Amino acid sequence: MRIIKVISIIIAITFASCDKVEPPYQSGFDCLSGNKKVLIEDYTGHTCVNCPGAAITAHEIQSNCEDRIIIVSVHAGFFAEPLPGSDFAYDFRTEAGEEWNNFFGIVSNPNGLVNRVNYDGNYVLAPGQWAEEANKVLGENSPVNINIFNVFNPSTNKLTTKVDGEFVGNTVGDYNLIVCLTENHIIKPQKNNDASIGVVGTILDYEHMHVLRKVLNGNWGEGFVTGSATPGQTITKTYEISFDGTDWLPENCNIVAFIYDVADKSVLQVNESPLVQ
Amino acid sequence: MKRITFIAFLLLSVFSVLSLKAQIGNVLDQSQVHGSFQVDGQYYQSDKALGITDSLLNGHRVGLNGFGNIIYTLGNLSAGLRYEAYLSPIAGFDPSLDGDGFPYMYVSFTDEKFSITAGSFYEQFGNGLVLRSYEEWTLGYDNALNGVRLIYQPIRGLILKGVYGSQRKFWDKYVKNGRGTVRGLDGEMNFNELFASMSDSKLRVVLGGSMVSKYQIDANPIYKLPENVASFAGRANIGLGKFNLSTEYAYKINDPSAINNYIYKDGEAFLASLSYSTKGLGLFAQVKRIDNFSYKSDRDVTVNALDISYLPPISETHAYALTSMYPYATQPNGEMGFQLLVNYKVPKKSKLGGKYGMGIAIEYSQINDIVRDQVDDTTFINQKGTLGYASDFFKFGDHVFWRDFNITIDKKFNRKWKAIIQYMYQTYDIATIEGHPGEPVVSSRIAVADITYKFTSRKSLRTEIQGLWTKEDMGDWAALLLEYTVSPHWFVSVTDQYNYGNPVKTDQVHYFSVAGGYTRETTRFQIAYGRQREGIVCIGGVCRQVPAASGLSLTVSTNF
Repeated sequence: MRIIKVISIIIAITFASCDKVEPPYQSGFDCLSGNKKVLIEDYTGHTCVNCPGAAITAHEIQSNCEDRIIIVSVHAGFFAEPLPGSDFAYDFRTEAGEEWNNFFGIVSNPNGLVNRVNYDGNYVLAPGQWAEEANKVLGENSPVNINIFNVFNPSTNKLTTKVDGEFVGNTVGDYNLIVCLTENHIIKPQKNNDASIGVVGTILDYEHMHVLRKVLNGNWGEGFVTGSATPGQTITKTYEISFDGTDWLPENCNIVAFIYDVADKSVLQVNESPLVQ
Repeated sequence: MKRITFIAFLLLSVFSVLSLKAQIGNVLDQSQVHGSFQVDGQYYQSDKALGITDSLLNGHRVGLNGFGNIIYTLGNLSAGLRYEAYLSPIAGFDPSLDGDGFPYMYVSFTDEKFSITAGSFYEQFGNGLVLRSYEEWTLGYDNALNGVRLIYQPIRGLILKGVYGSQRKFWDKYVKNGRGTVRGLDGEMNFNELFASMSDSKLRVVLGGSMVSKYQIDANPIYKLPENVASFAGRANIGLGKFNLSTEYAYKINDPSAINNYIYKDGEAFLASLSYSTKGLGLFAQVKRIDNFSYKSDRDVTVNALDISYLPPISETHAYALTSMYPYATQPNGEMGFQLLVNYKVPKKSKLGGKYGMGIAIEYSQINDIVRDQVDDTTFINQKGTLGYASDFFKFGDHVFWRDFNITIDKKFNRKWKAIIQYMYQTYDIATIEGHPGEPVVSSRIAVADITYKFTSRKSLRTEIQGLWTKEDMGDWAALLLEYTVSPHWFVSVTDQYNYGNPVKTDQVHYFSVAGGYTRETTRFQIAYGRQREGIVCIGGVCRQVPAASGLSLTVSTNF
């Protein structure tokens, strides 16, 4: 009899360990707390069948806090290799992307980084983890805001970009600035296995977004803060890049600039600005 | 007085030491130590024909997987630990295994009615539909539970189990609000043991039930995710004479995850098998239906790790190089299939059976997708953050994942010669099973002749001649193996697998390999040199990809 009582209690506890979620299933981001923006780096490749799904995940996160979430799609690694003579002959890869891919230990796609935060020795997050980590970052305050001023001169085919770091809090340590050029609306083939996104197999007219095209100031950027910075201080860097010899369309391009801690690579602040307003 | 006290102290000390020594002696006499060790090493070399260049190897010349397992028992007490090293992992194993340490440690107390284990343990409820923690070295897979397990047998014929813990994920230490925790209960009643009136009955009845729940915090800002996800299963095993029926049904509440594209549909799994066995004849039939039943203790994980449920395969596991080229991997998001198997032994001294008889096995298995319908007009099938789809339990989908018809004849001709002949026809949906969307379904015919000639009672030569013919994937293959054995210690073999029908001329490659091995009691050494073809290895429907490789491999294993 005692056994039956014990079993009944255990069964009751187990049934209680059961959360039935009723619609609507959607929750919400906290876009109002903090001032830190979020950098989602989506490490991807055109022959990676699960990558369109990850791109949708990143876009879905961004659509919740449009101004505060910035995406960079880094085509690197095995699935980004061009396959000459096939639909996948185009080379999306960049020198910086390949170096980051190796440094952060990305061995499969899709995977990504959220503000390059190191979680117990690991930077890499599966797409399903991006939203949760992005939401954490949104609640944080950054001691610096980034302003980007782009001037594209069609006659010289050159872009001049000025990046200001306006410090609103004390900052101690060494920080670098990385300035990237990204491009949207690139129509090229992509492998896919999600029927809700497009044809399963190869989507010939897939729209690639946020594609990393070039890092303007070296794969790991250049020094921005050495030792410390104080509120009221503004640090400015200016870069120039020519579009000659490239297939980049200025009207589809953006500059993404981020400041990161040299010691642990975590992003202190990020911002994005289109080349053509 | 002081002297008497000192002498008394001295005598007490001497007796204590003698008693302790006797006790240690007793303890050592009652103790048992068992263990096993294995080291698999591989040296990689560049191989132009396989596209393996020095830059691709990038200094990664050696892979090494090894383990040492020690179990100590003393009466009712047992304790054990396992050391593992992947320095670095052999190509094809998950890179997250890189490292070494003690991932498995436990202490356990067991008496007639009660058993408690603290630390790491493996456990399975029923067929494993709602809980199976296990380790499979060949796959580099280990989802051991770390926590506590209780097993209680209040009366003969009734076993109750309870488990609580977190699962192993490579070398990642469990941290609060990291991956989830698992708790489960299982009860099993053997009616023939429980009721005296049934002890001699021809009807054998075992009934069981399980409940498992996982907990993982919901910190997702996009969706409201269930933090506690429960699953329930009921099973029966009924035998009557030469017939046996075994079945299990499992149900899981909403469990949106990266595997099912974050849909909120409940999951179901069903298994049933019926067998008949008599002298010379065995008949076996089973059916299986899986609907949205991936159950992991971390909803965001998509790799082979942290599975709570195990979905047994119903396709036959083939052993030859070419028959196992396209193995089936269980589709946890949905599959529905059946298997029919006939084993017949043609009697000895019959016209066909000859002096030794002849074995005939015929197997057919087919696995299709399930039917998925829209839940409403505005929701796409499997749309993220919705109920996903509706599915009729009894309907097969049109999409065939796998079909396998095979016939095997096993015949001993005389004291010198014996042979196994196998023919099979397979349909393999490579797009779904290997994740190569857009690639056509592979239809293949495979034939194998496995012939053994015995020179003496200890020396024999085994020859395998195999062919695989298909117009899809890599085209036609031929394989040859010659294996000379001096039992019980030595063997040497040479093999070649030749992809002569590859549509790409430069990929028509020979995969040569030579191997040798020595076995002494429970210790085995094996060394091989040659090429390894790209493919997938599946055990129990769980698979890992193996890249093409070239070089030297060594395996040393022992147990005691």
